Amino acid sequence: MTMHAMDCAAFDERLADYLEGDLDFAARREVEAHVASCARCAALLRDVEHIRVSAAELPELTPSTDLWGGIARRIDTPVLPLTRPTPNVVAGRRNFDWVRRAAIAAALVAVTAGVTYTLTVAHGPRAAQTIASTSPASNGPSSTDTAQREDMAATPRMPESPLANPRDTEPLISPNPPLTNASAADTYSREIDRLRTIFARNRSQLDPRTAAIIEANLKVIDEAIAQSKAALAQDPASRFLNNQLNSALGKKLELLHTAALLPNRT
Amino acid sequence: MTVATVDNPTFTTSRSDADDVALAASGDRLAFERVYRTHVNRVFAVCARMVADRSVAEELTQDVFVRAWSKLSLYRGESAFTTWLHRLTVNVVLNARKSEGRNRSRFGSEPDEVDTLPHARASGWMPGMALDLDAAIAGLPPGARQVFVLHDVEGYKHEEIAEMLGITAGGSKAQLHRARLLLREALNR
Repeated sequence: MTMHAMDCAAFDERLADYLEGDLDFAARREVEAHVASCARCAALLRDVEHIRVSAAELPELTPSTDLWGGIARRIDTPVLPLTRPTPNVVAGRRNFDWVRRAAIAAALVAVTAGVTYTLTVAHGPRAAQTIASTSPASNGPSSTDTAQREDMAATPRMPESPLANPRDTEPLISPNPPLTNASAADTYSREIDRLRTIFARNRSQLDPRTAAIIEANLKVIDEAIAQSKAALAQDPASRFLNNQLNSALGKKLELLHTAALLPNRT
Repeated sequence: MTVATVDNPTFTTSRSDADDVALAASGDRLAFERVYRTHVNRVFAVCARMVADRSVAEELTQDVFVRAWSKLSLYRGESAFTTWLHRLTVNVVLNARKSEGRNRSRFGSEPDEVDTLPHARASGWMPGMALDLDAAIAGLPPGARQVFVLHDVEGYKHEEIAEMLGITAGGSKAQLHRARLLLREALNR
């Protein structure tokens, strides 16, 4: 195929080194001389170069679904300890359910409280200051690792600022309440009420069909919550029922969180 | 790294990715969601091309951002955030490969040493169907695919790839050349 000193087999052997720039000047000239006179090897070199260039220009890809929901749930999970030493074995099961429920409630509130506050003051003149100040110190990446928190000393941080609502005198975010049995449901309830208020205020900015879908879903979730509460009244120690209630409350918070963000995203 | 301050009048209207990274590093979940939305497609692309399975890539993408959240406080801005996140992505994919070593199906069960033609293994390939480069990459043997993606798509050097994959730089070069020739064969059919 070639009349040059280098034949196609030798070209094939040297092609990788040629593409990597690992050949010396003389060897490169030899390869290039062969390519100049051999259609087969010229096509091979051209194709491989084309693949290399095309690969570098490949576009980004988009996941088939929004992955944020799963990420958010996993981020929330390890922040709060879900197990606590119980005072006695007999009461352990019931205590675990309530502690777990309270922990989940607190975690969800920690997540949504920032949203609530940010959205509530988003139109205020000091939005930047308040957004920065909502960073939940007990729910951030550094909270899981004291050593990492120390490492954050060099990480630029936003200055602290008081959590004052420019519209109301009452602060919108209260410190996370103690994780007591009675406070878990109240904690959920308070945060749900706050998000509902935001949703109601922003509802006019939504497409009516979207708002209707959100409200229909909220109704379904509310029914599930009511059913779980009624069943729990009959069997308060049921872990299954507690989980069902937790799940429904969590879904409601998540939906309201999403709904509250919608106007900001459109 | 640019740091947002309360005195920055542009903060509310043109919050940059660097601002969001700084806020997320201090625990701001909303800022981290914005970081996610800015970078998810790039992270997913790396995962998808390295494992050649979109559903696995979506799992790994979630792993990457969960890990980023836990490690973000360690990011000091010495390199671009995209570089930091990109390296984290590659590490998550490679670590998953190691930990899932027994579950060969997650990363392809075919022996890597066999030079099976890419078209024969590309997902959804049918005789006569034109293969685009991504589909051809997906059909590469796992070892060749990872080196090709890391070098030709993502721009890593052979020495870096060798360190990441636990092979030699020469091995990386050999895998890359093999991958390019297999891709050429697949794309020319």
